[in-house]
Amino acid sequence: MSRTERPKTKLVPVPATNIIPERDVSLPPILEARHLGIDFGGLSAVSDFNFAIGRTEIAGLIGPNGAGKTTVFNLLTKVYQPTRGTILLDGMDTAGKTTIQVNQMGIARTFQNIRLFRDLSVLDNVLVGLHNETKYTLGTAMFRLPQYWRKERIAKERALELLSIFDMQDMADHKAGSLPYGAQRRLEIVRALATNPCLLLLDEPAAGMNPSETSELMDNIVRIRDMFGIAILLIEHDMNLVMGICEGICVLNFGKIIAKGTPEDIQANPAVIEAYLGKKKEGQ
Amino acid sequence: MSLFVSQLFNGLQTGSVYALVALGYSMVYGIILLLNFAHGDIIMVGAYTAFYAMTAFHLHPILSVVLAVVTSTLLGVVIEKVAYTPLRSAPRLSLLITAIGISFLLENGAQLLFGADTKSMDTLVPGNVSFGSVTISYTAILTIIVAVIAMVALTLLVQKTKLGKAMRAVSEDMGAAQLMGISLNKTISFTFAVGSALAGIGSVLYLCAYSQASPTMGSMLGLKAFVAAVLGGIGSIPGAMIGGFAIGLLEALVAAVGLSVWKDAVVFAILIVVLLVKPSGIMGHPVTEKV
Amino acid sequence: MKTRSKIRIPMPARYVINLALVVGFYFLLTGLISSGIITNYWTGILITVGINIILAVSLNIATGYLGQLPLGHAGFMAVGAYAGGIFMKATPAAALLKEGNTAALIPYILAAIVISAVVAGIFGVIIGIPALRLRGDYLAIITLGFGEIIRVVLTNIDSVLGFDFTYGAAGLKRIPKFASVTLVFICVVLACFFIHTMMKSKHGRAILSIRDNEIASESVGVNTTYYKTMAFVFSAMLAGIAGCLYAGYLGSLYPSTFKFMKSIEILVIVVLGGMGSMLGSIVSATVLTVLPELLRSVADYRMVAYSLALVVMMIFRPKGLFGSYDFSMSRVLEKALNFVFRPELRKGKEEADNEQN
Repeated sequence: MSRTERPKTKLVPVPATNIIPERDVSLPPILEARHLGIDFGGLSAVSDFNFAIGRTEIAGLIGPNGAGKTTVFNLLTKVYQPTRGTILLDGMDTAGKTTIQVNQMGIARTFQNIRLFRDLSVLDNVLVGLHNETKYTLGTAMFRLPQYWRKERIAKERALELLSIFDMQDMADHKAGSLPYGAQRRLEIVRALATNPCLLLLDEPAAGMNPSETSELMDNIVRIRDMFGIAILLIEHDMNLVMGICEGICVLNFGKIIAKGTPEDIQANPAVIEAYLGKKKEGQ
Repeated sequence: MSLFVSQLFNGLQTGSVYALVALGYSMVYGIILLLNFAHGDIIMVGAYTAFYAMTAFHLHPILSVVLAVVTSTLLGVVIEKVAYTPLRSAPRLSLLITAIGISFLLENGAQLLFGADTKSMDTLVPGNVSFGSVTISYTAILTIIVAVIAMVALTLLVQKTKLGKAMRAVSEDMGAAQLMGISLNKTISFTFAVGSALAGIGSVLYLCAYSQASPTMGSMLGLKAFVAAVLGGIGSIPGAMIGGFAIGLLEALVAAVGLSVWKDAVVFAILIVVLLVKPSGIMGHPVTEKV
Repeated sequence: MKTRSKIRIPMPARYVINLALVVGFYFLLTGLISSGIITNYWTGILITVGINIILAVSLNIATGYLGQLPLGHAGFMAVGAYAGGIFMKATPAAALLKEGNTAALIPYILAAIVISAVVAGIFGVIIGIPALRLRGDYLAIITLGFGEIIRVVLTNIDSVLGFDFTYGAAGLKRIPKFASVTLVFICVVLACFFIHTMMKSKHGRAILSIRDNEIASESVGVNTTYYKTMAFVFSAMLAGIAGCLYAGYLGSLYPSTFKFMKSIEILVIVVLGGMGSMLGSIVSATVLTVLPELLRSVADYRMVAYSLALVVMMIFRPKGLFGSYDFSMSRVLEKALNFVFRPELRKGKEEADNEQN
């Protein structure tokens, strides 16, 4: 319900310096996972995952390779149905919902291995993201009724506006598959934003980027949060990025949370250091 | 009772041919995830080879059989090299369309070469054996025995030899197998060779059973064998055998109750039901895409 | 100097231009027929071309746009043909046709087309909902099986029912021959128009997105099951209409016409034209229908050539002759206008003009 009441976010052309809406601690978190877990053929991939994300928080999910980070994303977006536990999105239980329904409730994501509609144009990729926001029937489209033209024009304008976040409006007619790697990653974020989410999941957004691109991406992630007033959960291996922009961090190892807290807490946590660097042998 | 037993043997006989052909489908699918539509037509070529070897060139039946198997094997490998290898990294749809194209090329080529009519010949293995009131043809017994031997040999090949291990490795993970020093081209060609050789044996058994060859004989036989492979669980060797015998027996059963014109419809209906209830078949494993 | 912007033809004008071209083409065609330049024999071939175009563009929805490979398209065509044929036989259409009372015939023809579309559509739903749950090649097989079942049923249903319904292998004969050039022409134009307007809308984009990446499509909230079924059923309905026209053109139907081979022939048309290109399907359907007529002497080689073309095409030009390129008359006109009146823009011509319409 609060999803529908949420006012349509206005795009702010230039990000003002940190206009983060006040951190209202009294508001319930946008996402809360309780005792989340999944088994694959008797093997527990993720277990007892408890985590909450504030309404406009940027949170990080880190951990060594194979720790189950992407699995958590797949659980949140219902690509896998959890074996145990509950996921509350804005206080509503997502049990039994499909990927499609969860997206309509407000979770949008990007993928570790980029999944664009490669043969469609950049603009069309974003327009597919606006699919549920653009409302007209098949008949309206087939007979080209006035409503079709109106809704299409609005959708196109909105899509170009969204593309302008990353200065991509000039590429609108290019094929998505022909874009350079970095632009493809950005387009995936734009497409996810087009679905008007309240929580954005980014799966390794900085993978394959050089330091300057990464620092630009960091600015952009913060800017997106500020512009849209949404929560962002990201998986990332680049510690500069994670420690630089995440307000809350969750460390996963072997499918279990080994630490939670602010970047400072995490950096000082011995369990995290052990997971990443291995245990110090006695006497060394 | 005697009718039932003889129908049972009929079913087992057809089932043996289906099973042999189904093995070829299953092996190829297991290794490159391709529905090799042309597989059925390899049988047709094998049957024509044996037919002409015996009728036009009057070769000894054993020699003709060997010739048919060798021709089928070579054809299978050539098709793989010419049509499928260039498309190994192409979308699956392209590969599937190519396979359909090859299948039609063989069928229509045979029609031009040999004529559209059905070629008939004398029974290869005449005679029957009677157990009380039940009469079974030598052909049926021979077919079943040959099929079982071929299947045992194939199982040993896949389980016990180095090449068999390579085949299993490639079907599990092509990239990893390559990193372990397994030659992809060699292994895939070998798989096609073995599958086509089995099709060659199947073609000879078909010739024994029906004593005729036609350009389109392979398409329906191939489709049914494919149904058998899906029923048993595509990619699984024991599954293909079980599926083959099951389809053979089912057909005999449908014919026995006087509905033989509906035979094909029943087979495909079974296929649809199986795909809906358990897409992975009796012995197969479900496949999921990694996100 | 102030640079003038490119000339763009506004949207309603584009439709008017296209409509004018279509109407012009129609009058050219009927003029050529009535003046005898196009003989009766070739008029028949033109009707076949039209039917094949509908079959090709409809299969193109499922293969080119949705990215699936149904191998039972002839099955949907058969269902539509028999539904339309049986209906028309039951109406007084034959008598009206003899009288030449075209006006009174129209409601029956419309009803026949609607009935065949609906019946084929129902079969599309029945087969599509379960089949589309499965992965690509299983869908191919399940539709192939369906096509074969249809054929077996059409051949043998009479013996089960105990009365004459499809007349089995002997064939359904004496169907009123209602398929005129005008009717087929209208059907082709409407089919192409509605496919175009569907594909250039949010619904069409949803279908294309499923082809490109189904998982991503779900992740942005596209109801993939709904759109897959919709595209599949739409494709089946158009095939049913093509079947109905086929029945009305030939006047008799035989189950053996709708063999697996027929499905493959349609597939060849679509693949050669380029999967995902309506223009490709239209050109390819025309060429592959007319060419065998011109080359009667080598007709035996037709299927060999088809299958060879299929293989060669997949290896060397997997996107087909036209790829996913679609032709728009108004865009050509736009380019011409710009060339003449905006010479200063000529240099920047290589900018891809992918204006959505």
